[in-house]
Amino acid sequence: MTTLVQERKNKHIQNVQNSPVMTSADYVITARDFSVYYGEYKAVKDVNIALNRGKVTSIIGPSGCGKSTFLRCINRMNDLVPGCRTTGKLMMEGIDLYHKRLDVVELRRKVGMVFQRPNPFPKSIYDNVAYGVRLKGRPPQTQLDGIVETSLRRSGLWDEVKDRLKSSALGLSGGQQQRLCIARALAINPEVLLMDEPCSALDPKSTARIEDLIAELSGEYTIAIVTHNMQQAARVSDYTAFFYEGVLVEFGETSKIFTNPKNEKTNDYITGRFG
Amino acid sequence: MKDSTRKILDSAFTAFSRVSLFIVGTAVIGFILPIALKGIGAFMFTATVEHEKFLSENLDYSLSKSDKERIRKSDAARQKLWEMIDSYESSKDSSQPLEKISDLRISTFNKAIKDKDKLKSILSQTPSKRAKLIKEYAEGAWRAYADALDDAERGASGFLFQKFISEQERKLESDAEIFAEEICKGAKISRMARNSLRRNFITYPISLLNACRERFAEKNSAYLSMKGGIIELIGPRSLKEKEDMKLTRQKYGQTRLDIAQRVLSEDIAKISIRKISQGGIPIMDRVSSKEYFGNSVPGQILEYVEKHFDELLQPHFTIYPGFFTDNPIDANIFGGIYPMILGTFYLTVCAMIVAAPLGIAAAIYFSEYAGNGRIANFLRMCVGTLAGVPSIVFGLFGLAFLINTIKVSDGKSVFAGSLTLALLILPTIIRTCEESLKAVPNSYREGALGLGAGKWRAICGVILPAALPSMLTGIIISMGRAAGETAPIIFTAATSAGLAIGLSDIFTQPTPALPWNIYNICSEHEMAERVGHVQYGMALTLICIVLFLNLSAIFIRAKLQNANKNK
Amino acid sequence: MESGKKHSLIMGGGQNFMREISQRIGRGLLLSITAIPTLAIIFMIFFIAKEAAPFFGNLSHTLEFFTSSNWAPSSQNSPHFGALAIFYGTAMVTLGSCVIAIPLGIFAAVCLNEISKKAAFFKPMVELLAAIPSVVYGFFAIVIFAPILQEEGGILIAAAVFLLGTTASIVIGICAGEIFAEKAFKGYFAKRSLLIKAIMILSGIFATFELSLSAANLKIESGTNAFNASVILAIMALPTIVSLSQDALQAVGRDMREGSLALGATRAETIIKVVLPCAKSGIAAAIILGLMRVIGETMVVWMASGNALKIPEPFFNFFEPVRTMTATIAGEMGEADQSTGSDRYHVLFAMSFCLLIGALIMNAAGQFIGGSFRTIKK
Repeated sequence: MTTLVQERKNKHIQNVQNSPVMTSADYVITARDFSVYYGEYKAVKDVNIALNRGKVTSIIGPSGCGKSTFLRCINRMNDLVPGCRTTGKLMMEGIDLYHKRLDVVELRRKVGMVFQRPNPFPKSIYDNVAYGVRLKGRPPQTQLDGIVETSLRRSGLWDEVKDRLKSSALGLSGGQQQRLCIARALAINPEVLLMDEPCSALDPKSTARIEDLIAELSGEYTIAIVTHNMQQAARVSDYTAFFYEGVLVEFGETSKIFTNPKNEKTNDYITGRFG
Repeated sequence: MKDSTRKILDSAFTAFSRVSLFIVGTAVIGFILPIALKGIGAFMFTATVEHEKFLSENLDYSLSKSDKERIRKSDAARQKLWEMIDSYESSKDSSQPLEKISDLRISTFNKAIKDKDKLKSILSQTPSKRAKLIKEYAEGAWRAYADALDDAERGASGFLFQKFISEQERKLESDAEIFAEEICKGAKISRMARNSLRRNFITYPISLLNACRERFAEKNSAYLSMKGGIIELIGPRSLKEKEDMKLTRQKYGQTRLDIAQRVLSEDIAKISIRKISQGGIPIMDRVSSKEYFGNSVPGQILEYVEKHFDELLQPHFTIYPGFFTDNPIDANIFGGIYPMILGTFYLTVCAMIVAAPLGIAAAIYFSEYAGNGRIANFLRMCVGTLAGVPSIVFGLFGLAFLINTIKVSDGKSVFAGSLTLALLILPTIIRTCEESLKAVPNSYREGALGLGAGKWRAICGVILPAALPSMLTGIIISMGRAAGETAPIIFTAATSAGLAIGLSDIFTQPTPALPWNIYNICSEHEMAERVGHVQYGMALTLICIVLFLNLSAIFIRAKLQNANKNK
Repeated sequence: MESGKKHSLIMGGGQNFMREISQRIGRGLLLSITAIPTLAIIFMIFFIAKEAAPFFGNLSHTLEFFTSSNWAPSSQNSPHFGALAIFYGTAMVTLGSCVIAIPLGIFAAVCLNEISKKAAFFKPMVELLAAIPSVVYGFFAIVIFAPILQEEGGILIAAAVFLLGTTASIVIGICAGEIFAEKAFKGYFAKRSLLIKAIMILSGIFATFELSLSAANLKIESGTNAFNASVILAIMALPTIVSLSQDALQAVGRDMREGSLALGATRAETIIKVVLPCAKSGIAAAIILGLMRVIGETMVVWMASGNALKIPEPFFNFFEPVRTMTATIAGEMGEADQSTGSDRYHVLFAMSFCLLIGALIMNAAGQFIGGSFRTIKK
């Protein structure tokens, strides 16, 4: 991580640790008074949050509440949106993610992302998984084979595709494609995995498989998952953050949020009064 | 691969793309700018007095007061120039030494007659010796004559000397005859010996005269070359000379300062002289007039022209809007480009009148009736294929089918050309109109049909008006294309020379048109250097027509998009 | 009938019939107008084939047409119809403009779609480039570009070679140096890759310098030559290539780009490895359609290519004048069409028949590839 920015700024870590939201010690991602603007419109408003290492954090909230925007800021995917700018601090292991000398390309290798719609490249299954690895030069074939196999095994796709690694990824079903995208992200060995409604385009059976996969991956990876589906949030996550109109309304352990929410809005939302 | 390398490659890629886009995006400026800068010179330029003279005498322009003043001034300056030329050509002042030469000729003969005995003894020798001895004798006898000739040549100028030389030659021949008679009188000398005496005695002076004539011919050709340049610059001298000239370009001097300056530097300050090369073949050689003439009278004439250049031509800035409304005169060297503009206008508008209704009708069929059936797709494919046919093939088709087979006219005509152009732009019109019709929201159709309107009523009353502005954009752009196309009209409508035709002639007559005449004046004009401004002017006019059409289309489209946004 | 009086939804027989008839007539009229392009294509092929048939009927002439470069169709005693040099000229000019237009066009389209923020300015400029009439391009080629090429050509080309060569050798030097250091020495020299890169770059620049020195001494005899025509044609083909390629790039979804970027690819890697492969059929169609504009173009080649009836010596010498099919047809038909029925008239139609068939095949290929690209887009 030291390569991300040339100088480490320890004081930011201390600042974040002093913030009231934090309760536990080992954070990977911390946001402090973090806001995102699209032109004049403020999509995320002064968010303070910290994601725990090795845990699954789900981000819930009604449509347009800024939860996806916040997620996409963690690996700077919002750079692609014209007119998008940020204020406040968003840090990963003490490094300011919006530092002007930050290496975005390197950051994205550390913070993998899985999108709403499965987006495998129109290449073979093998090439899809190897894509990220090959960007950094071409490792020996046996090593590459090993990486591809491990990634596919971890995403639970190996047994289904091991005989047709060279066939096009577009021939897979939606759920398989999404697991391929997860495998693709795992192949470059990220620390954090961002999932932007990974199951919204999938059938219930595929959804269940992905959820199992998330459970398997937790512990090893820090996972942030945006979801519309409250049952899913309750099932897979250790922590839950509720966003409403760009504001982080409540953040805490999933069990507490779902059984005993402190905020009325949260209560209304999880009991289905709106959203 | 190292990260730093990947970053460098990334920046290199970005830079390459940016440079490419810059080249592609600014290429249009690179094309238009030089043409525009020089093309403006076709109707805004520094004219000479000859410009007004030409306009008033050929195109019924009236002369303003300042024009008359300029003509008067230039005439005064020219008067002096013509006087210099006259005095050189008549060369009155060189008559004195010429008389002396004639006298010397007579006295040389008389002296030789006195040496009768010596000559007779020479004549009695064997023929080969005889010739040599006579020559030796002659050289001595003619020495004074030769010196005098040299003197005279140095001082002589003009045509009189040349005439004098020819006369001397003739007289030498006749004198030699008398001289031979005199020597041989009474003696028994063979006819051959007599002839040898006559011929060999004057060989030397005749060769002198020949050399003299040769030198003079060169000098004269140089002078005439310069004089030709001067006439090209300021026009012929008198009204009579002017009327004798066949071509308009010979009747006037240079009308534009830039070309006049070129004539001065290339045709007056440099002259071509006729020289005999070592192989004995006459060749033309270009030399500087100043060096060649030095301080002689032609040199003074040159100096006068250079010094009084402005007075002779009276350069002044002028705007000549007639460039767009006058007929060309003498192969575009004078006048404007009206017939070409009119021809382009006829061709474009006629093509539009034919193609636009057909195109719109076909587009209505495609978007409202055809659907995605097999026939419709086949027809669509044909539209695409027609769009891909090379334009020259359209021209051949127009020739082989429209003119030679169904004979829409005898030979080329505006109508045949327009039909060919209409066919060429039909696919573009169909496509853009179909797209515009498809862009009309389905709710309009449903709304109209829902109110009980018939399909045809719905199309005419609701869908067409809604799509019209955007269809107009496509039609205007294809109009621009029709205006600029050349290849289809080469064999069907275009003629390189000719005057503007009337509206009634479009079914029978070919017409000049801008695109074809641009080609013609660039590639096939016999005096390309004289019509550079017309070339640029024509190209600029065509660009302006086409860009005007395109920009108005872009403008309409932008307005349309704004209107849509405001909804 | 009852229903008629009550203004019912069911129309009376006569009314129904009239409406039916008028609709059918209207529809038929529209259909027949729509069939005009189809008829035009058929007539075009038919008439050109008809006029070309007398020539192709003569087998020895046909053989000569494709194999010899002795072209003297108007000769009284021994006419020759060898069009090989003309075909070669067309191929040469087309190839030359491809070499310039394809990379430039694709890079420009990529920049327009992915990189530049000034697309709003550049896009109309590219459209205007398409609007300029071909004869104006020809005018530019012969009046402005040809004299420059004739007088300063060597220096211009040397400068271009040097600029391109230097940048290319830096990029290639870095890549090749890296791969060389990693692969050839199995990492043994990895630490010295900088040295290897420097050597490669310097040798590349040196070679470029030598090349541009020899280019600077190049004497271009005539400004109207294959190079001139290629450059101008390339610029003419650019708008087609750029805008159609841009359409193809636009059709590639945002999710593809995001997927690649999220895996830590740089923008260039994303474009080269994901976006361009996704858009390749659309780009191929764009190139084919751009090429068609080059092959079918008449005025520019007629004015700029020099119209010399021979294969250049050596055959890759772009600074010699050549002659193309379209220019031959345009230039000679004017002299031949009076004598309809002459050999010269028919051989020119034979040539345009070849041109037409070539254009039709390419157009079909373009539509086929472009069509498949459009279905992917949907």
